Amino acid sequence: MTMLTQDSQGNANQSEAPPILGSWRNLYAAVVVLLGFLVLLFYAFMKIFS
Amino acid sequence: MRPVDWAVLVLTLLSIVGYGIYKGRGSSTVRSYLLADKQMRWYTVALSIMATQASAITFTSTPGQAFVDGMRFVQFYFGLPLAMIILSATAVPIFHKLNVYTAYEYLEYRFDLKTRTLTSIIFLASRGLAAGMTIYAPSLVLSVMLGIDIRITSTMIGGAIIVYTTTGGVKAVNWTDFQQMLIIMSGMVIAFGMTIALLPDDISFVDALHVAGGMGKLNTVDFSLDFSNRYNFWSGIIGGMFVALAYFGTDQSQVQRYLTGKSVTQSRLGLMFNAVAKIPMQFFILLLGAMVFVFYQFTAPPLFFNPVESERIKTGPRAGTYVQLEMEHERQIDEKAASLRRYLAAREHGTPEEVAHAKEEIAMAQKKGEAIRNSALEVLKAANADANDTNYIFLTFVTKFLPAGLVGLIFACIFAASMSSTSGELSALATSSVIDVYKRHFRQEADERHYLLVSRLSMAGWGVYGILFAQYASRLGSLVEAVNILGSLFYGTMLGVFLVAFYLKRISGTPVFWGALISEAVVFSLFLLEQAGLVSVAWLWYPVIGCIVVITMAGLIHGILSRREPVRGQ
Repeated sequence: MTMLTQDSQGNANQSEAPPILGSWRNLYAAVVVLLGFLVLLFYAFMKIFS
Repeated sequence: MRPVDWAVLVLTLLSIVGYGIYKGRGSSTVRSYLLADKQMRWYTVALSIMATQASAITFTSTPGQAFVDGMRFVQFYFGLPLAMIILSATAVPIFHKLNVYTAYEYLEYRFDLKTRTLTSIIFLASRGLAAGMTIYAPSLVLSVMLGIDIRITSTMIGGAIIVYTTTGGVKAVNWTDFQQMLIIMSGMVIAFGMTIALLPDDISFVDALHVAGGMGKLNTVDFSLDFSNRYNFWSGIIGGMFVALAYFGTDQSQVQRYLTGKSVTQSRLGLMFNAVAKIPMQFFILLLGAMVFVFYQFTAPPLFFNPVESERIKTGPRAGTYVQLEMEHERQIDEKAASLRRYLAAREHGTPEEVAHAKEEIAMAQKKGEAIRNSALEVLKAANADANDTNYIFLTFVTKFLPAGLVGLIFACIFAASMSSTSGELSALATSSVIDVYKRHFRQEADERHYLLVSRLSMAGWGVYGILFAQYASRLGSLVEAVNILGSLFYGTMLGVFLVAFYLKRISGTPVFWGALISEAVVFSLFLLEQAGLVSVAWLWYPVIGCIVVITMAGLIHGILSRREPVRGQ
């Protein structure tokens, strides 16, 4: 496991805040909201054109 | 294909190989060769994840699926964003913190060596067979459409991949994935624009949407709770999430993509991009298929889209029946086009009754068309022909109606998609073979040059295997389908092991190891009983069953062992 021991030194494994929305929690919430929006959009799309 | 198409195709393939070699230069350490020095930015990680997931069949078969079955397949991806969030919050920080080369290496830290070895061997067995299929399936479609031997198409795809993956390693894989994804998306956007432009002059894009919707092809969301329906909102959000968790969280071909991220943040952003972009991308490809469907309502399509099978039947003893059906089919298309125009006119100026009447006319015409096609399929089946032509629908449209140059670009997209998914698989197979098996079990202490050489040989070896599999797969006959089913026999066990590792911290290695073996025994027994006709469980359920058995058995064995230990201690 020599290679692994070397690798585990000095790797950037800390997570910073995402570049948008301030925190990961907010970004995950935004992704869930977007998913809901897409589902509703697809539903409206289906209803309008059928 | 015309000379200009061949020129576009060959130039694109050469540019991919050249770009891969250029971007992969300097991969002179194992870390650089197998992890791209962990220097990838989020956009490279993101497009590499998407490119590895999107195989050539995604782009040949998805538009065909919308043509045949409508756009309901998009629901299968509804669970993917949720899986991306779970993995981003749990798996990514753990893998980064431990600085692992493979997902299975983490299992040794968390459990023990035997659990790591078992899961890596399960991965190598299942993904190894799948890698052969990833070259075989598009090679077959391309050989039929281009009229060249499958040995040439599979060697073109596999050979090009071997050149840049062997020289540049994962860095080359990630950067070519990035380039291939851009080529694929540009090709698809241009093809979409051309499909709309090729519609009859009196049919606008909005008219086309009304035709597709009126004929049931825009069926994007179905909230009914029906377990026999493979694609609805619920199966997509729950089943789709399970499949995505298993694929992105336990399959090294995906884990390796985000392990190359420069930091936890870069890897997470790569996954989040996939969470946001995947559903719209699939929607767009399916909409392209729906538009091809509308195009073929006004221009007669072939009765059967696989040109080789179609030609074979016309020169055989059933030629008379088949040609008769072809003539009926052409007459029926003209009738249907007329009723569709009446429907659009009624929508514009008519009363609700006139609209309803026109819709009924379309439904009748559609039924008549389906009856003719079903008769043709019966003729094909009676002649032992392959009666599934979904993969050929979009490419038939491309070769017959798109202008010179663009046909070459679309075929380049298909080759690029095949190369992107296969190269990701080969690099993952090579990494797991070297790190989890060779280095851990056969040669623990050797210098950097030795492991780098073994990694290159492993990459090339898996590539040659993929090409040979593709060239001989057609001789395996029905075994090819069995290979696909075989993958589903392993996925559940792998997901179960990782779920215990992430979320059930008190359970140790031995219960999980035995849980995994019991799970495989249960799934294989079910498979054999199903083959013998004694039970009826669709193979799509095997991953769910396997996962539940691992978690349950690991919990039970853990309970038994922890009750025994205090007794021994007394």
